[in-house]
Amino acid sequence: MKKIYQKLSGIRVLLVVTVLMVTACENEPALEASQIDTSTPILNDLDNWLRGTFVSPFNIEIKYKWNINNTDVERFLHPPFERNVRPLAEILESVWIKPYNQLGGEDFIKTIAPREFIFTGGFNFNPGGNTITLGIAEQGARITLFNIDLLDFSSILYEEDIANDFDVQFAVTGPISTIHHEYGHILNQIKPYDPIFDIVNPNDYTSSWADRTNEEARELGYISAYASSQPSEDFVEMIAYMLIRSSAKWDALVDGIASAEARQSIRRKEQLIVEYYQENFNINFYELRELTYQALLEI
Amino acid sequence: MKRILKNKFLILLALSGVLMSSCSEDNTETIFDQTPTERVNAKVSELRELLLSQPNGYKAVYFTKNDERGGFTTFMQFNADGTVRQTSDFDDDSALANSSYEVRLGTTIELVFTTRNHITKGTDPTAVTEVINGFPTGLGFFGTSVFQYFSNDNGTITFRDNRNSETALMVLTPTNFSDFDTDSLEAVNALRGQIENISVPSGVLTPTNHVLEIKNDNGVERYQFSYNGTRRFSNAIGFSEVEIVELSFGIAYTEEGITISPALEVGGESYIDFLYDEATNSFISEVNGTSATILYDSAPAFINPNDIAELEELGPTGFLFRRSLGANPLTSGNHDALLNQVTVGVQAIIGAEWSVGGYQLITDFESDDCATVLVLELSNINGGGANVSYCFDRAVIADGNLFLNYQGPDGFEFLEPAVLPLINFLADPNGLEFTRQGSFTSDTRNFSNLSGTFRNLSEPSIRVYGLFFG
Repeated sequence: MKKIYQKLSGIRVLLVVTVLMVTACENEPALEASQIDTSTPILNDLDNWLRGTFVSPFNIEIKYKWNINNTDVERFLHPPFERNVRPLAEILESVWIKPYNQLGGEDFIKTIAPREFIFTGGFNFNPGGNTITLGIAEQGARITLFNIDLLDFSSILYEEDIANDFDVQFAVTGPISTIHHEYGHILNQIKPYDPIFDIVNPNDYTSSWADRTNEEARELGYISAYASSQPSEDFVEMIAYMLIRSSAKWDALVDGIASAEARQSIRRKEQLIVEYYQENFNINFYELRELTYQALLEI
Repeated sequence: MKRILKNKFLILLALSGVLMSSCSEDNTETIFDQTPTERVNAKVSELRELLLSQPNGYKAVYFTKNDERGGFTTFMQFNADGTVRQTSDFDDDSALANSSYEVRLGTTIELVFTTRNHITKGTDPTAVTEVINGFPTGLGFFGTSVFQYFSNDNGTITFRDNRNSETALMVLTPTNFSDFDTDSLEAVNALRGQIENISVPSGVLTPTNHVLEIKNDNGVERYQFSYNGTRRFSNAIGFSEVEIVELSFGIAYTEEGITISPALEVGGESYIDFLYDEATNSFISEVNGTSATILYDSAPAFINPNDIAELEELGPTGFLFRRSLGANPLTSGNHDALLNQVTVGVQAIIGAEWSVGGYQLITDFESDDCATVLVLELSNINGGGANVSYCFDRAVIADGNLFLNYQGPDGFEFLEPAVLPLINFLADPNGLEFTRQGSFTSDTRNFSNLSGTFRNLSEPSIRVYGLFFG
């Protein structure tokens, strides 16, 4: 009982103090309307189209207007031409959003997607001199695409068909491949892939992947030089390579590898990716490939 | 227990006292009339209204990084719908184009060019490339698309770039155009006209030394001037017996000439704006009775007294001028004209199938027995050729110049009249001026051989550049 009395006394004291605290500053002015400008910014036709096509249905914002903090402030990069934004955004819609939604359900992309795309105009040269950053995926929340002003939207190129592999980056297959690659990472962050993938042919992963050609990497059982950097990149490179090629083109690429062991490794990894999509997202990967490839042809 | 309760009560009482007194002792002195948000909003509005106050836009001179690059001029017409119309003198593409801009709070109040247009050429890495590790790597002008609002001085607006805080500056001045589209394109044409004026003259008879000359109470100082048109950046090297002085600055073109950044500070004066003088093909900045002039001259900016001594040390080493080794602007048009004159004379004597491909000059400082010799290289259009020699007394160095005294031909006397203009060039009674030029370079070849120039002091516009093959 005494304890209860003591507690009550404590509460009373606290009440008194609280009242004193509340009334102590009673001379402060009453809260008024916010002074922060919350009005809608100037929106042009492109902004309205992006809002209607990406923000409202998918909660994805495509940022093309320059904000230096969206990219590495140490790099000298520039915004894109406004005229190149919608063509690339339409490609995102047709070769990425629609195929995934058609097979995974209409909310598939809305549920699993980066919330922001950053479009920049020029190349992102790396200081070392022999590489260029093509795209960046940050924590599954944002994908940055570079050099969109240099794209030929009517060109579809594959590295195995041309002398200089880098020329792919001037064709639409360049950024589409980057998108499939980065989205593969985002899917992995939601549903990890089977660790068996990592030990299909683990011996030749290397941080010096840039010293390999794509052809050399394929003879070691990796679909590209970058795929030979580490298993997680290998997984998404496989996805990107398959989703921008027809079934026949993909088979021709793999069947063209001289090493039977390398072909077997790539086919095994292909099988694991097909199972990954089926088991985790109930998506038939080969149907998805057919849709993404057809969409690519229709650009 | 009661004691404890009592203590707690006292502590709470004291605490409430502190709380009350802390409020009552607030410093209520007002430093600003407005809240931070109101002040930010006011500055945003101020800049936005300032940009829109000029219906025919602004001329923006932007130095991106004045310790490595020059500047360029963009004409900008800001519109209330968030668009800005631009043209510039950055490159050949001066077509007017629209893009977006915003005025917003960033590091401070900022003008942001949010989509690509002429001004963003300053951040295009492909504008300047360098081969790094065998790969053509884009460096560009190190510019920005985000400009911090710095000041407004009677309508002249200054912006800075916080990445290049000490070296970047963009200044906007009202254009006072009557029609933005027409007048801005006309102005850009005028600006780009300066590119030709500051480039190496292409005429065959023009002088070839690019010189920065300072005239003040101390006399005349001359600097060897070089200009990189891609980077719009200049170096000027001065030489004295005690030191080598290097001055560097970026250049932007103006309708009347050029403006430089940083300012050229010499002899207590500051030179920024240079006016183009068509009569002398030079850019002149005059300040308080002194002047800085960028000009082309027959004479080099300065002669290193050690150069001629080195010629003596080289001994009987062959100096070679050969057309097939490529062109270098240090060989003057008047020298080529002289050699063409020799070719015409030779053809008149032995036939049109012959021409002069070049010549060697071997200088010996000890023997008069035809050890100092001019060897003319003749070539035949049908193949083959012939070397024709003309002898001189031993070479003499006096007063910092080379003196050659002609003896006569070593055979082929019948060609001597045709070769005399070249012989007279070398045997100038006023002497030949020699400069050492480092390793050999031309528009087609680079060799590690030492190279140099000889200039005739009686006819200073005749100069030859070649290599030593000994």
